[in-house]
Amino acid sequence: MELQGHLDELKRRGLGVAALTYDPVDTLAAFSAQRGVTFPLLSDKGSEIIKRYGILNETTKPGTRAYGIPHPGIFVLNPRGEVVARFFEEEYQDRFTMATVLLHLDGMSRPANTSKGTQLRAAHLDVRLSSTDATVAPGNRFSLLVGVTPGRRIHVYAPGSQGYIPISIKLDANPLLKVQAPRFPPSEEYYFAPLNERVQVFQKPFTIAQDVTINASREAQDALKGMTELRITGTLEYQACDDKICFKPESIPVAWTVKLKPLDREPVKR
Amino acid sequence: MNTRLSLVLAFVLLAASLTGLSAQSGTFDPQKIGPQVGQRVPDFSAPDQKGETRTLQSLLGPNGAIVLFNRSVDW
Repeated sequence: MELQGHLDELKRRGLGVAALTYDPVDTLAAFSAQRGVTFPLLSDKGSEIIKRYGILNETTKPGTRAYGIPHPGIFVLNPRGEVVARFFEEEYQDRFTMATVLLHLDGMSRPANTSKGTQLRAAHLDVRLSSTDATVAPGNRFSLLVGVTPGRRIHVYAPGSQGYIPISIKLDANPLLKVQAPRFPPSEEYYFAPLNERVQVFQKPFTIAQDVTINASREAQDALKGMTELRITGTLEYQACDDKICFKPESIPVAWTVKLKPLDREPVKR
Repeated sequence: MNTRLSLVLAFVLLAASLTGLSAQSGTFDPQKIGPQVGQRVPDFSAPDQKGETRTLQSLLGPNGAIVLFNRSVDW
């Protein structure tokens, strides 16, 4: 399970971990032994807890294997058991990766490590591309990262800026991907005295997070079969200014390559 | 049928068809189900893979916990 690989990090953060399914204890025991799971797998046979949480998938038919499954999702709780964040997807096959859950939890306020990733040539900025996950499966939702360090005395404009080209990331249309709205950290106000104007800018290093989900539809999975990696392309647009002048707007091609792994549908060995 | 009755009938039919429409086109919003941000989740007690009973309380670490609800480990 993907969670197992992040256990040390979660323990370091002081977070307990558990996964719950409607499987009986012996199925969970076999799975746990086969996959080396060291965190609690809870058996909600009869789906009583799933129902108590109000997340029973009611589109399934009684008598079928699927009956009793939840709408899959993740709750992040504080020490009092209150929800601080939740991650639920519309499509039943879609899952947030643990790496992107942690990124979402950290928000944009944690100083981003903008020094890692593939460096791009970009005027007035240092731009590095990376990703929360190097390998993903159909249905995985993860984050593509654009780490930006403005040059000396340089600033770029935050989304919503009037009169200047705000920094933006746009991915090229790709039927194998579902694209979310990009996330930006808080911007800061910049006062430009000669024009007596106040604008929202980024001057310090920052990271844009662009979530994408590998499409897990039947058609997409057929197309992805046999592919070992996926190339995701797009464009970064911005206008850099210093404390005196503005430079011409730039449009830089960006690309990420992620490795693909198949969906884990393997039954527990008996 | 007189005019008033046919008007009432038309209104009733329209209301009924609107109700039917909204029931059919109701799309599932995953954000609306289950405990929301700020709410305390329901307590529970369940056996783990070793057969030991775990409560929600026992799972909470110093900074809380991550709880995943999955479909099945078997399919």
